[in-house]
Amino acid sequence: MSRFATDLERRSLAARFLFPAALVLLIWVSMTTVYDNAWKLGMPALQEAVSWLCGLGGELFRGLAPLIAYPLAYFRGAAPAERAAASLGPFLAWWLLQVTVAAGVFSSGEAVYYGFSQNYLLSLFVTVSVMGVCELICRWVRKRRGGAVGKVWTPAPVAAILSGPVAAFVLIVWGGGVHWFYLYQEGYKLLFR
Amino acid sequence: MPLVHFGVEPREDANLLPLLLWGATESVPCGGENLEWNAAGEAGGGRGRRLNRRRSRRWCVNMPQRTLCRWVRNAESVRVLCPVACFVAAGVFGAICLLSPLRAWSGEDKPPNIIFILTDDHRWDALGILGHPVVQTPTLDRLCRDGVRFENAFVTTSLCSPSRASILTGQYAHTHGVKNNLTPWKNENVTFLELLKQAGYDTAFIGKWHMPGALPDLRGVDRFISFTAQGGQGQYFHCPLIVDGRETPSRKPYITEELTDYALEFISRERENPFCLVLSHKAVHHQFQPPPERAGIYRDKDLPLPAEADTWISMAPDLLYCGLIGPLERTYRNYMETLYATDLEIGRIVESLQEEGIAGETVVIYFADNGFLLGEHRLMDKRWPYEESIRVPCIIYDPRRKGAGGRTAEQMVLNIDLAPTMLEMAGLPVPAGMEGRSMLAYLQGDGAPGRRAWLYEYFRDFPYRVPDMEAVRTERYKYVEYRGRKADELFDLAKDPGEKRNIIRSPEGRIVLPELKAELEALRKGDGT
Repeated sequence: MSRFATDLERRSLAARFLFPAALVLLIWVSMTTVYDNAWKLGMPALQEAVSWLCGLGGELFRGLAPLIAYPLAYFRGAAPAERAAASLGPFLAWWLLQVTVAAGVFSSGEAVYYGFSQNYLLSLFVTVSVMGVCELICRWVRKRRGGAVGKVWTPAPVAAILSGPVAAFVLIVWGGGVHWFYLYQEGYKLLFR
Repeated sequence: MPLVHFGVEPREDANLLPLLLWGATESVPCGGENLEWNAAGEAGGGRGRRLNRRRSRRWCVNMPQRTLCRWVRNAESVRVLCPVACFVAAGVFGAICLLSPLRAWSGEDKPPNIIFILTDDHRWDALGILGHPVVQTPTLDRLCRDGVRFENAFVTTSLCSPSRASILTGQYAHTHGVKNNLTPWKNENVTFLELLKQAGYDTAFIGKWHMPGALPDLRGVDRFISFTAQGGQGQYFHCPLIVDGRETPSRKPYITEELTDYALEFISRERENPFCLVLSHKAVHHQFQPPPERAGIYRDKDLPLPAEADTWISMAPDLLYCGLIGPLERTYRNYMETLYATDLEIGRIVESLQEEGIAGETVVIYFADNGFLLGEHRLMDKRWPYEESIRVPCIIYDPRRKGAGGRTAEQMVLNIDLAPTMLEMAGLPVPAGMEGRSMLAYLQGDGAPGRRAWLYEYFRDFPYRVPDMEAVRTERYKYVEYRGRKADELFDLAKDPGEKRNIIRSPEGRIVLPELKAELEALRKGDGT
């Protein structure tokens, strides 16, 4: 239980964790499903609109899911771990799906290593970064409402926020992503060849 | 003049005669074993062979004919034997000259110069002459008009390293061993450059090597210019080069222009031998970066994107590695702009042939190491066995073949056919180890029969989630067997050129499948048609 949640009513597990997690997961799954199948309708204009709304939107939503899940969980008394887990729902679902697909092509060990390639790390750190932003916003809102919040700015959320840009720089900006990719490939050769 | 220069170094401690006899009895034309390349020379006729001095000395000490050695040292014997031996040696020398491929070229039988231009990721239909609505390729169009375009040219593995190795060796990936971008080149592999060099060609490999491991000590090339940046992929701007083993900063900012400059330098050298230049561009490999002066030239063009594609198809997880994240339209335009810039650089090569006065004796061959999916099947990248990925442009411009200009050859030709083709052009036999076949017969336009089917193969290339596969491609059908969970596929290319409908479970599919399976099995065993 968070020390900041003492003035918040701690709701049931379903309300404080399952509901926010299921909500963002449902939104993400819906967007992805619509996007993956819109082209079958054979309507170019609709397809283009869907590609922006659900294709790009779905991609961004994975990282932005904490904007919905985190405050919901926070103000329902969820512990930090519960807030994080609810926020990471779409990412974890996506990650598991992609690693499962990889396991159909590579060995189990390779598939797990695949799960740590740069797009997944980037997505993870962006999500964590957004969680950090949400934590600060929730604290600030709660403080304004007179809640028993200590300092709004503490090292943990700030570090979480910074992890996103740092990861983005290392993984995709540094050498256009190529430097990290070849380091990752060297790791692969060391482990599996 | 000729390059035959048997530069025999006289020994200080022995009569010259045994050495001449050694040359006469032990040296084998083209044998290689008893001869050592004198690699000091570059262009011109100064290059030759030099007998290995150490081996000569060892011969005198170790060979059973030691008594002969002693006998010829006797002055009286020398007086008697010298004219006879000189006569015999001269005769053998003459025979060597006649039989050896290392011979003087006379005007008529001199084989052509060969310029082989290899680009990367250039899909078959991205040519102006085919009516592409966006890209202009004036140079390639001109080569098509003056030469022969192969309508059905394919790669046996749609991936840079294996395909490039196949081009150089004339072999499938499962034979030459470079199965993906992670398996290294084997130095024992024999390239067509090595064979052309042995036949007296001046040779150069300039550009993208891109096979795993360090750059090899490539046999049979006088100039070897490449790069190792970005895992051998090179970079479009300011790419450091390795020029004959020495790291060299880039002289021009844009790599295609830089490589073209080096190629022009090689072409313009004074020489008496024919030459073979492999100009292996990085372009138009992703990330598709045109030079600044070409960037944006297709900004306002309407793009013929496939119906199943959309703007954000490029968000697929594995495409981040390719640097293709972003709207498909932007990627598409970058690709075409990079291709246009590459075409203009190829134009400089073609123009130089006129300026050098060698246009009438220089064959230009254009090929790509693989194609590229730009949204078809909701995919980007290559690797997959679909047409956009495996089908490439192939043009042969041979100025000596009058009347062939502007022809389109329908036969199915492969990347493994290029090495045999170039060897045959040079008048050399095609080694039995090469699995391709020469395309020269197809240039004549007399309906020479092509192959009925061929084997496509792909070996997993981490971290790209494309399974191992083998496929047989006939003129009408394509049957793909995937390893793992992905379902096998069968397409009727005559009815469904876009490969949208997998008919493997349809009644029609069931009829043709057994024959295709048998064909694939035969191709696996090397009994291909």
